[in-house]
Amino acid sequence: MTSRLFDGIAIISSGQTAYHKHPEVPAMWYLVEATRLALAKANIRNSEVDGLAVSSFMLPPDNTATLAEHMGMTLGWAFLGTFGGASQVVAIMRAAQAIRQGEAEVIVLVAGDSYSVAAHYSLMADFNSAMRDYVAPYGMGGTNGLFAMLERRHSYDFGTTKAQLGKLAVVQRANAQRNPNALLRRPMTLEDYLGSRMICDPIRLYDCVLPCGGGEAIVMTTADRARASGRQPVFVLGGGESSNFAPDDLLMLQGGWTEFAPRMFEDAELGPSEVDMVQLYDDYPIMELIQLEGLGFCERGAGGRYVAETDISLHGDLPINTGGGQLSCGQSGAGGGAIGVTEAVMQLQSEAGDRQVPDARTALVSGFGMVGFTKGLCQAAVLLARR
Amino acid sequence: MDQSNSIQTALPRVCDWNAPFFAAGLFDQLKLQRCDSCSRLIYYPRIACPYCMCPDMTWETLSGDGSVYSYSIVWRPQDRSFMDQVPIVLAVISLVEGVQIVSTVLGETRQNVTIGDPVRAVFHKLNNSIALPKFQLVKS
Ligand SMILES: [Zn+2]
Repeated sequence: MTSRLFDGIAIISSGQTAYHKHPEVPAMWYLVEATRLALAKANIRNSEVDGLAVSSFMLPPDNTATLAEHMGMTLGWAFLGTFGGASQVVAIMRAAQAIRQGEAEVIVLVAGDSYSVAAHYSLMADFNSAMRDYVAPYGMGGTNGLFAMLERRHSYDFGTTKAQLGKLAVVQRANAQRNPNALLRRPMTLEDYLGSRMICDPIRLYDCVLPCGGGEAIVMTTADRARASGRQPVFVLGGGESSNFAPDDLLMLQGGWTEFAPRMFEDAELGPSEVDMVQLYDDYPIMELIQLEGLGFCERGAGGRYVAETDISLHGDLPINTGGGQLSCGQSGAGGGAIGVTEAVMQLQSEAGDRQVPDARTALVSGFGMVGFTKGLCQAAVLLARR
Repeated sequence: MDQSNSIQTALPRVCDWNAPFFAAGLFDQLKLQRCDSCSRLIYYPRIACPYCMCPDMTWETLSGDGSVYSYSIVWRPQDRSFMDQVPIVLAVISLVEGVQIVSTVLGETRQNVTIGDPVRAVFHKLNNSIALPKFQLVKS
């Protein structure tokens, strides 16, 4: 017996701004622009929106209510994501429940930032009290140093190789070459990846994302209203979230996906092998392995071998990060966690152009973020489908 | 004590519940909280025990001995003020008492560190209330 938590709810459109390597406008601009694009695509006026979910590191001192004021929306439901790169995925589940409970009928979920290398380091310097007081004083190298320690230990415990990790970066770059909005579209070979500059050993330059300005939005409403709009509805089949899973696993060799993925797939009446594509949170390739393992695509520790043995290209058995992911598009701060959502919705609504996965019907989107003392504390995932 | 005089901008904020940790290093000691109720050692310093929420914890002096659980060789620290320390060997250290701490490994041969290497705490004074525990490779 499945819970069917998200029955009767649909995503009807997505909006994505251009990405800017050197942003000259504040986060507010990206959030408004992404929202405007998503609403225009769905032919919905701002006055019809009665719910708003926002995720942005750099929006303060503004927030969901003040953003609603900027955009002329009167809200019956408001949400401010505190899950970092997992926020947009969590927001989908929260918004679906709000619509089911009648708190809102049309909800915009938007995430974005005016991010840059300097903004990243300045944000990380005071991101949370534990990292500020017990890690940053050692010269940690931002998150690069932390995820480098995760990669080192995963390689030590499970034999994960740089070539296995590099396959993710290289295949995603090939996908990005078919995505006109990606910032990094120059061809990249495995040799380029393996030879890129050392940043925080074993993390090299092409393991890292490029901070950028950008915004992502989707519009959710009732399935009835979605069908009446004439647009292809995208349904939520299942999902789950976890915060502060396994606190003593400081580097997070295993994340909270392990805990909720079995129930998520059961609710969706699907197995991992039936998913047509997966959009993983790719702040670093090593995190993609942790997600593949936790979500049940392979055994614990086998992520590297799984990637090596699987065709993960657009026409393969399991396409991964079909738009290039953050590794090739750029990371727009908290918007980075929404890029996979936008990409999945575009794929399922057949809007992905040259990178369209043929006959895509189901997509898994995974989110990850909110680094605490030493690791991202929040994990989330949803299964989306057109039916 | 490591007398490196670099200007360090990333200073921890000292407060009631972490002051003994930062001050212990001034006396070349590594002190962590142990919960009075569940007896577990705790890192990082807490207001209440994260295992059982007991507010009563006692500061305990540890041996300072441990081993490297994982590490990264940091060539690009987040902040210019660390450039004179590059490469910084950021590490998770498993203390012999059974808790892990994040710190750095010091010494001329630090780039040759491997997982499992034994280390011992040394202390790096930042100001009159803070000395950070760092770790020196122990030659076997
Ligand atoms: Zn306790």
